[in-house]
Amino acid sequence: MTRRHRLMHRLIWPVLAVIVTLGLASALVLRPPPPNVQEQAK
Amino acid sequence: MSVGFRAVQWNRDKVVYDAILLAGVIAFIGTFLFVSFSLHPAKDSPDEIDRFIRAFGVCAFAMLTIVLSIGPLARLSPRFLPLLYNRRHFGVFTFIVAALHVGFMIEWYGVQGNLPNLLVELMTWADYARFIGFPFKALGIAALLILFVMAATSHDFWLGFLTPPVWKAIHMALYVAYGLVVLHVALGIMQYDRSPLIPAMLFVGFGIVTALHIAAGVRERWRDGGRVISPGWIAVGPPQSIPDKGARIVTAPDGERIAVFRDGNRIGALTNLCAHQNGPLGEGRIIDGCITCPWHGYQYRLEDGCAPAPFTEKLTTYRVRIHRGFVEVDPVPLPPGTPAAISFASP
Repeated sequence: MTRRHRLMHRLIWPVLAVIVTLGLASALVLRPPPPNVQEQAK
Repeated sequence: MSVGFRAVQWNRDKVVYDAILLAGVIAFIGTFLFVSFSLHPAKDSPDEIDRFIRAFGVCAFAMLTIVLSIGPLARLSPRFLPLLYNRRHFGVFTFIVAALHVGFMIEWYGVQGNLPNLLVELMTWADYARFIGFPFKALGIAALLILFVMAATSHDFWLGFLTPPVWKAIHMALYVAYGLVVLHVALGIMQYDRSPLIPAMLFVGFGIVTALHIAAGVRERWRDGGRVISPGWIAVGPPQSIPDKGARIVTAPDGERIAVFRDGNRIGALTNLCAHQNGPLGEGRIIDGCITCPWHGYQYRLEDGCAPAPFTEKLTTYRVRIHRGFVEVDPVPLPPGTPAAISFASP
């Protein structure tokens, strides 16, 4: 890899890793409860 | 290197690679469908198509994870280099599997007469402002478009036409595609299906790719050797510290890497970038008297960085000298193909 590619690599990776990790964790935490739990809550 | 179009140059290794890849994809999807239909027989036609959507989707995700792992794995151990040899075909296969996943999804809407609903789903602009409820299919489509561009430009014609640095930069978009796919699954099927296998697949896949890249990066930084000494030469080490028919890699003040090879009592320094795909030449070996790139076997002479006839590639070389028992490299690049190797007296 050229120096520019390594720089790109080092910039893209941390940003992508943070976005994806936060997105994945949030999607897991915020997902709606299963239908039977919702019915019980009602 | 020519930018004229030539069809894929098949050889036995490529055929074996592709045959194993195809067999692996068929076995994966076949096993997935067999287990799925055995555990839960399909209720109706859309349910049946849904299994195919999942099978091809999981397979595409697994393939993307493997494709992204091949680079760092090959850096960490040369045992994985055979996987890298035909990585482009792996990428094209991944695009085909992902495209079939989309094809089954369109069919799923089609058999129910709901195809317009797909468009409505994608064009409900208010949903793009939501997190849970985001049109996750748009993320998948964006990832598929990136995979398409990569598959379409994977041929050596485009590599020569665009030049390796530009081609490589375009193909780094695969990381973005992977991130989009992870979020496509997280905001899509993971919201409706409570199976713990889905988040497990995402965390394990993304975790493996991230850990391998960090490990390869740390090792690469550790391997970067050489220190600039006055007046501007880089000290590499005693001649014997360079493995015979191998190289040590040093970093020039401008950040570019230089591969310093030794072949017996001959030493030469060249750019670490192979002319083909900018592969790490310094991780290669001298085979049949030529420096051989570990990625695809492109060869160059130690003496002047020129590829042996009939090939015409030329690499940048660097002046080397032995000073007080140390090999030193002048980081000022010489014009490609300039003879610069030296001999040293064995102790």
